[in-house]
Amino acid sequence: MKNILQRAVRTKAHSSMYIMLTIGIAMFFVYTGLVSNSQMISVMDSIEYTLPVWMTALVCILAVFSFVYYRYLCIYTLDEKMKDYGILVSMGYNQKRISEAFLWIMAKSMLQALLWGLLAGTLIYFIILNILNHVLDMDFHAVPLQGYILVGAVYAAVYLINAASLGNRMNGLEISDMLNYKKLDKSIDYPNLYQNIGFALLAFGLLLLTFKGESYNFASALFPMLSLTASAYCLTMSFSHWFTKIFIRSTPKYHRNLFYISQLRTNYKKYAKLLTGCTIIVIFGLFMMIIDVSLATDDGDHSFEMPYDFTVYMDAVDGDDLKNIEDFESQKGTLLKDTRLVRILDGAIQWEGQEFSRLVHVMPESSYFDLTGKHLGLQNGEIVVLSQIDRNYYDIGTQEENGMEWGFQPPGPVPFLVGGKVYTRTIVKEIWEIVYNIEDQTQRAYIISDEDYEGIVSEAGYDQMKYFISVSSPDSLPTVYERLCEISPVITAKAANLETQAKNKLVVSVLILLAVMLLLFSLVSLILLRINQDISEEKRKYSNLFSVGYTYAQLQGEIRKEMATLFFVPLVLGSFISIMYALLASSRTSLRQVIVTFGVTLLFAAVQYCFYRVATRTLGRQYLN
Amino acid sequence: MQYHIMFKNLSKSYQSKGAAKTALSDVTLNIPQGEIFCIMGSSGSGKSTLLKILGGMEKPTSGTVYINGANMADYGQQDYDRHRQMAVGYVFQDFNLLEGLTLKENIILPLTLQKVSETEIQKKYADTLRCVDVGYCENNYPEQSSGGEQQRAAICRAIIKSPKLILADEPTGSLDHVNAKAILSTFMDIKERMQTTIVLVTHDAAVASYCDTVVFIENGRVCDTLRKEETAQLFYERIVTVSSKVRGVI
Ligand SMILES: Nc1ncnc2c1ncn2[C@@H]1O[C@H](COP(=O)(O)OP(=O)(O)O)[C@@H](O)[C@H]1O
Ligand SMILES: [Mg+2]
Repeated sequence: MKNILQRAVRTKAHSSMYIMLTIGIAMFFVYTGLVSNSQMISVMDSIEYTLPVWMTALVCILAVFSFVYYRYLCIYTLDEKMKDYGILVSMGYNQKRISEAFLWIMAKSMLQALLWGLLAGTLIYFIILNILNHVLDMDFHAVPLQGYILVGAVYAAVYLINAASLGNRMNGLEISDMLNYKKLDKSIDYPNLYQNIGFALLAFGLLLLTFKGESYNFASALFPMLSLTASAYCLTMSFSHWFTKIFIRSTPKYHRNLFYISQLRTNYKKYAKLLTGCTIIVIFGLFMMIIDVSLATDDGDHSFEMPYDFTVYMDAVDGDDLKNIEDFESQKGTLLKDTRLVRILDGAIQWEGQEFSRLVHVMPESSYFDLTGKHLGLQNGEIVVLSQIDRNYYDIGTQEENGMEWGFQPPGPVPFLVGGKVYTRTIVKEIWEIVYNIEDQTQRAYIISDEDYEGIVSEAGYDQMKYFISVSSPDSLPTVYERLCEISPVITAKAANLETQAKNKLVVSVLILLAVMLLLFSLVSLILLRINQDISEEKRKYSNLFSVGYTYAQLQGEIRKEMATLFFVPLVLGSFISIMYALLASSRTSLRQVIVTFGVTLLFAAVQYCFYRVATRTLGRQYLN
Repeated sequence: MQYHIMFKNLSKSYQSKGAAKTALSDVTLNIPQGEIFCIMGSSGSGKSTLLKILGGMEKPTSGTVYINGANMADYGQQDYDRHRQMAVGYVFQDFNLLEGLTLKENIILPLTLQKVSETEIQKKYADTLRCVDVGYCENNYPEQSSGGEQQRAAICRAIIKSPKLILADEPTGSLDHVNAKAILSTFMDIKERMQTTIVLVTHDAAVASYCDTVVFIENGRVCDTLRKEETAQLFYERIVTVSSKVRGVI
């Protein structure tokens, strides 16, 4: 007896929808794992400091997306069973018990999806790490514990919120409502409002991107993305509304597209959420692919920031050190193009009122002259800040004060620490110029007068030097490096730096490519899933059209129109948004980036086009057999 | 303007789950122009199949269909298209209107498939409304219309292209008595005005009694043919007797 009730309450399996959910969970997990892996973060950071930030933003949006997807799944399942439940209730079963049983079924399915998703996610995660470790010789490890906790928490919340709202929905219905239950028209009530909000949010998002602040942080990455995504949501939700208007404007066009208009008024109202999901996927997929390709095609030629091949660090220099350098230059003279021995002390300044933790270089005016041949004419107690950033390449936010343009610290007195003692001098000027090797672009050099410098050196009791070397040909790099090691153990080399950077770049682009493939896969499966759900009803519609007098060619044309809508509306909307994001969000937009952006979009469109062709063919066979 | 249909030794079988299922076997029929020609039979007897073959939706397994002496088997794809687009109007039991179009839009849909000018479309629509009145609800969607309204719109959709042949598959099957009667008188009116041949499928003797000729089909075979020679009431009684006899035989 109880068995029969259970069978009556049981919902359809909808395995394809749950497979999608499982894939979503796995993706979510992989990303959470990657974003919370500190090694991975530093690799991403070394490529492009915005990467970890928008990866995190992506995880947040994936969470929102899972919520929407699951809600859709639940409502779809419930709609299908509502009438059956009405029959059960009308026969005397307890309404509350039935809704509990339903929610329990949903909980079990969710749990199953969660377990499989975590399993698959863990597998993918470790496969990615292993590929990176073995193929690229990296050393990633760490179990993504945070990933498990976060994914579990997010999906528990997704389930609980949806369950609560579904429970209310069921218990709030009269028996007669349940019996006569028709699938809710999922269309929105105020399409005009949605349309307007959509366009407004689009403009707002673009505005945020155009007038972004100078610092790139979580908020400045998330808010434009959120605004644009929300605009995509509103525009696709009201899509059938504003798109129909385009066809109704001229009578011949209107008459030629009657069936398509009919589909817009019915199916595409239902498909609004699908279109939204797809658009969001396109936005992220395309954006990531743009990043990926621009990373991969970036020639990495930052040599203007690294004018010397080697930098040798020398602390507490004595006579022996200087002798070594002399010997080195006389022995290897032919291999060397240029060498400079300059005095630079390591210092530290306070940052945002905290302790002295931020590093600066302190150098005498004469060293600056050695490197550049330029005089500064500094007085005692004055500082000129040297920022080694190419202003043509980086977008530096600057301000004006007392006739001085500054981007790092305003003019005026500033304390700094050298050798355990704090000195206070006055900033009078800031110059932007690449002068010597520097790894950390945010590290500045304070140039002070020679007399000042001598005073500090004598108080500190030591002097520091940096020895810069350029070789005459790349072949001599190993020999020169070997000899330099005898002078000092601390050497940085441009070539080596570039090598690790290249490797890191590869790591990141492999990761992103994988992610884009996953996204593309989920996009297509989402569309196919939806087509599949409606196939019998659509087939009936098409055979009906056939009896009205449509020819095969005309029917094929209708199928093409429909598939074009499913595949290309999200593409057009999504790619517009992600192109805008790609071009406006980054601090520098070069011609190369523009070319990459449009090239990638075309590529993406080409892939979509292939799927579109396949879908059209398959449906043609299905509908018109 | 002759339009004369002849079936000769027509058979149709479907391949379902490996086994062949015969829907029609050896049907020979003559459908004169300008008649309401009724096909009667219980469900599964092959009535719809016959209609689909006539409408060019399906092809027979063997046998021939002659339309004005031309063998349909010789039709090319274009001839089939023209046949469905120009010559035949279809009416179904469950109306088959597109739910996303208003009644008016549904009605003019067939014309938009042909190269018909906008003014011509409006004119033909007005003409059609003179035959069947749905003008008062033309901007309603099917969902907002009664069954009778929907079926009248479906009939309008069939006759707007002035077809030579109307195929109606149980057109009154989903309607109540009053609406069914209205639909039938619409058909009779159309026959009078346009000399259209109407082939009507039903299993309802009351409906059949409005027709000029009634053919009985059981298990895909023609069993009997009756011609109307008396009043509707007497014809009805004759149909009832024959149809119970036909079923009894089989
Ligand atoms: N597409 C099909 N495939 C297989 N069998 C079919 C198909 N269409 C009809 N049939 C079979 O042919 C027989 C006649 O069907 P039909 O003409 O629809 O009967 P009805 O007289 O009720 O309209 C039925 O037994 C039906 O099962
Ligand atoms: Mg039938």
